[in-house]
Amino acid sequence: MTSQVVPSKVKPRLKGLKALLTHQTFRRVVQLTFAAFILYITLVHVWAGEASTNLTASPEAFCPFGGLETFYKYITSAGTYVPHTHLSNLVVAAGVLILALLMRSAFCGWICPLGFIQDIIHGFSAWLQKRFVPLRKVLRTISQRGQPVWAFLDKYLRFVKYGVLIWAVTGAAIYGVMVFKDYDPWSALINMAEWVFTPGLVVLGLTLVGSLFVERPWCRYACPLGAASGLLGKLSPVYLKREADACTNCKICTNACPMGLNVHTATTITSVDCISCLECVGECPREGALEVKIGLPLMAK
Amino acid sequence: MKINPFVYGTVVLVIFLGVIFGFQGAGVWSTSGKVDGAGKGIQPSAADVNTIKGWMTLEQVSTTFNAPVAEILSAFNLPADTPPSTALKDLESDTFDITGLRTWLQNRKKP
Repeated sequence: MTSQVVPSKVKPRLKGLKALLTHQTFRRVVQLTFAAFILYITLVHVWAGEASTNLTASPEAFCPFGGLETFYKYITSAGTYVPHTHLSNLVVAAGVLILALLMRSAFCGWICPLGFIQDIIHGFSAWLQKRFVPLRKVLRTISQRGQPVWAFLDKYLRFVKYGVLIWAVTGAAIYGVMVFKDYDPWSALINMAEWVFTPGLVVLGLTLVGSLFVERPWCRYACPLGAASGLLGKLSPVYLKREADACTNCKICTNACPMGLNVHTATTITSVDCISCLECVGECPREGALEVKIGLPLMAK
Repeated sequence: MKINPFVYGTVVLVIFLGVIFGFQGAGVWSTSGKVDGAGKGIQPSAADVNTIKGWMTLEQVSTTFNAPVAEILSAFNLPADTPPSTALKDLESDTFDITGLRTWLQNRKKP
């Protein structure tokens, strides 16, 4: 008896309000809300200043990576912290790591404001390329010609973030200061009002300009928090499943992936680089070809 | 088992905010070096250099640890005309950081 492959249905095209009520819109609203919260905290802190009698939290107090940097000192020095970190950093870090353990790197895809800023810039670049055909042609030509070199670099640059993670966490543990702070683009952004030049400003500039050409360059290559979250996410019971029988290999999922993963060739997407944004699931035109699944950790097939 | 992407996003928010609000509810939360987890104000104490925080001024540290401002400035190659009301975090540079100041004060106390 031969098994018969049933072709999957094409998802119905949504129109009007229904087209807006997607999980992708939901994700953007969540990202926007967290980014607006951090902007509000930053403005209040800058406006009130350090000398204010009203206690205003610094946006640094909400950085989860600060929690990872201060963790060693906290447990070995009777609850003290490396400078610029507080108890809130440890709590937010716990939130990110527990989230990674249960839902993979969803913090990166759904919450992180720096990821959102990169998304916006890349979206702007896509909009520009749509409007200005010559620009699109130039960028496409450069992209095609540089493809072999870029593919090689992309493969190895993705390991840089693990080096950054080890350097930042062990550096903070050994020296008791945030050795990564001056190179951190997020720190440079939220402390911009201080008008102090740091290498982090250069990294921030490179990240923002790079986002015009590559989606989420900081997340792909250098983010130490994403590295930690991705590694822990390997233990998560959640994964993405591509049903080969329902898939037409149209590559829409791969083109939609902001982290540049080859979704269309995978059976399960459990990559440490997956940020669980679910753009691939939303863009997939076939019913049941790409779905979010829950199963036993490390057993996804 | 399949998960709806909307449900996935909602669960992400519930877990992340749940952890944060859970800790906050248990009193494990502080966003400033000016107060501890219980909301009690932190003041520098001569007995413990770890009570020095970035928001404290040179003057506060000088008074608490009985170290003249001029001596602190000189030890860290900071400009001699730095106002004593300057917050420590605003002085951070290649030659000065709070961990360094703590170590220096700790060693200075020793006979």
